[in-house]
Amino acid sequence: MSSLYEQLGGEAAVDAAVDIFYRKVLADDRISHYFDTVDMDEQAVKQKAFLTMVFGGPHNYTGKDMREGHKHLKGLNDTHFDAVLENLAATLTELGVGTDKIEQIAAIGNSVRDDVLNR
Amino acid sequence: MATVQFEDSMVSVASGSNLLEALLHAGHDIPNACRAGACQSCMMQVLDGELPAAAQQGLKATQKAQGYFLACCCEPQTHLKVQRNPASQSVCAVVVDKQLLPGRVLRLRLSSELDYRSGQFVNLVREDGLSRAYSLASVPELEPELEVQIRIHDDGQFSQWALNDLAVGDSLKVQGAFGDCFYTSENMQQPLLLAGTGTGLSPLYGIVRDALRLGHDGPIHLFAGARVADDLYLDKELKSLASAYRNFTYTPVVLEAEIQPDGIEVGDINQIMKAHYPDTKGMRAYFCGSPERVQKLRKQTFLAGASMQDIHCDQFTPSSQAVAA
Ligand SMILES: Cc1cc2nc3c(=O)[nH]c(=O)nc-3n(C[C@H](O)[C@H](O)[C@H](O)COP(=O)(O)OP(=O)(O)OC[C@H]3O[C@@H](n4cnc5c(N)ncnc54)[C@H](O)[C@@H]3O)c2cc1C
Ligand code: HEM
Ligand code: FES
Repeated sequence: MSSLYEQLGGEAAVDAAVDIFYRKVLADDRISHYFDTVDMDEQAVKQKAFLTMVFGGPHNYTGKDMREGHKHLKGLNDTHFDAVLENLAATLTELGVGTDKIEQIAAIGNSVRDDVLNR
Repeated sequence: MATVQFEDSMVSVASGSNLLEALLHAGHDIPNACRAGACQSCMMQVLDGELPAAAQQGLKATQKAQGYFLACCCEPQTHLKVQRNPASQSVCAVVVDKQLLPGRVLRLRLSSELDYRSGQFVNLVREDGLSRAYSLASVPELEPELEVQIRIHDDGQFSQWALNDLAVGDSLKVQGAFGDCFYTSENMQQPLLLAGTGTGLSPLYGIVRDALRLGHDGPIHLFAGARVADDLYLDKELKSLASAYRNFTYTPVVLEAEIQPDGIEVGDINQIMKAHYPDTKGMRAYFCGSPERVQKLRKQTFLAGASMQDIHCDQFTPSSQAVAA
């Protein structure tokens, strides 16, 4: 059986999701300040890395990388984390992804919660 | 300190310095303008060795994958082997025309053999090496000369020199052409939205004419901003384009006006554009000019629905060689 990432449509699915997800995140007052940098292209590349990872795609990030990569984000807590997952689920729904797959993706996200929140 | 192999020579890069400085110091002629990671004209390609992450900050994934990096942001930690950006050219150009336009804008026409797309930018290099990036308003298929439009800054090293000392018949070095802010004809029906203030208009003027020349079919709308009406330096040209092409609309916008001028909108260009286009889904956009302005236009257009890949920008980042005001 093919991987979740392949079932979703691989890199093309990630590309389709980046725009929608990034727009939602920028419009979400709870978390937009974390993503509102001057260099939108650079930020889009990171969104792509994030989506590839939660889609179960190929990546080289470890839990330690997730810890290092987010620890400079001041005051990051569960509320922010849940907001990201919420925007992710809304993005996937918009793209017509079924609820069973959305749950699998949320589970991948949740598996790094403690690393991302550095605890 | 690390050593870098370039062509047949070795240079060493002291800590706290960068590869661009080291190569220039050793007498190599490397294109550069901002020395701050913004203009990407110092782009080079790595052949061997490990790049520091900062050297590739802001590059597209495809560029990173090919080993492209910015020399001005590269402080190597280990030995590298690098080469010039194979796409960059360096040619000699002669000033054939020089004109002062309204709004303190200097128009230069240069004869040269450069290959470029309208809307890309070049570095103009003075004999002593002082170098600045300028966008191309000319369209190679429509006119033989390169055209740049230079805003005169009161204490601008390059712009003051160009205004006062550079004469018709003088030659300059031109490096380029850089950037991906230009028209492509893969979707001729797509609505195009363009906006810029000050000399940000220069590349947009080129892009619009390029699109029209190629027979772009969808609507094209250009918003041109200036402080006051007298500073709308391409007003005549754009009005005549708008009357010649049914799918091209030109909206001049000024910040200040005592009485409402005819055919000109008054206010903030971002707000005015938003009022015209509350929904930008499916549109392609081009924004040029000051970094703050361009970043705001980009964000607002993205949030209103346009895809990131459809938003092309050139930010006129001041050079880090500028003497602070
Ligand atoms: C990709 C790119 C394309 C560009 N295209 C154009 C173009 O088509 N036309 C054009 O006129 N310029 C363009 N620029 C800007 C140009 O490269 C120079 O930065 C500008 O002309 C000033 O150079 P200068 O030597 O005259 O002034 P400098 O000696 O570099 O600076 C003098 C003083 O002016 C201030 N200053 C410099 N630039 C600005 C600014 N934009 N706004 C406010 N203050 C400033 C500096 O802080 C300094 O105090 C572009 C820049 C980039 C990166
Ligand atoms: C679901 C769990 C999450 C995963 C799997 C994840 C994954 C990633 C990845 C892979 C990157 C790119 C790192 C890089 O290559 O530089 C990244 C960057 C980033 N993440 Fe997350 N992330 C998660 C949650 C969050 C949350 C909750 C926030 C804040 C609300 C957040 C904010 C950011 C920011 C701002 C960056 C860019 C950091 C920078 O520019 O330095 N992430 N994330
Ligand atoms: S990016 Fe290096 S000189 Fe501009």
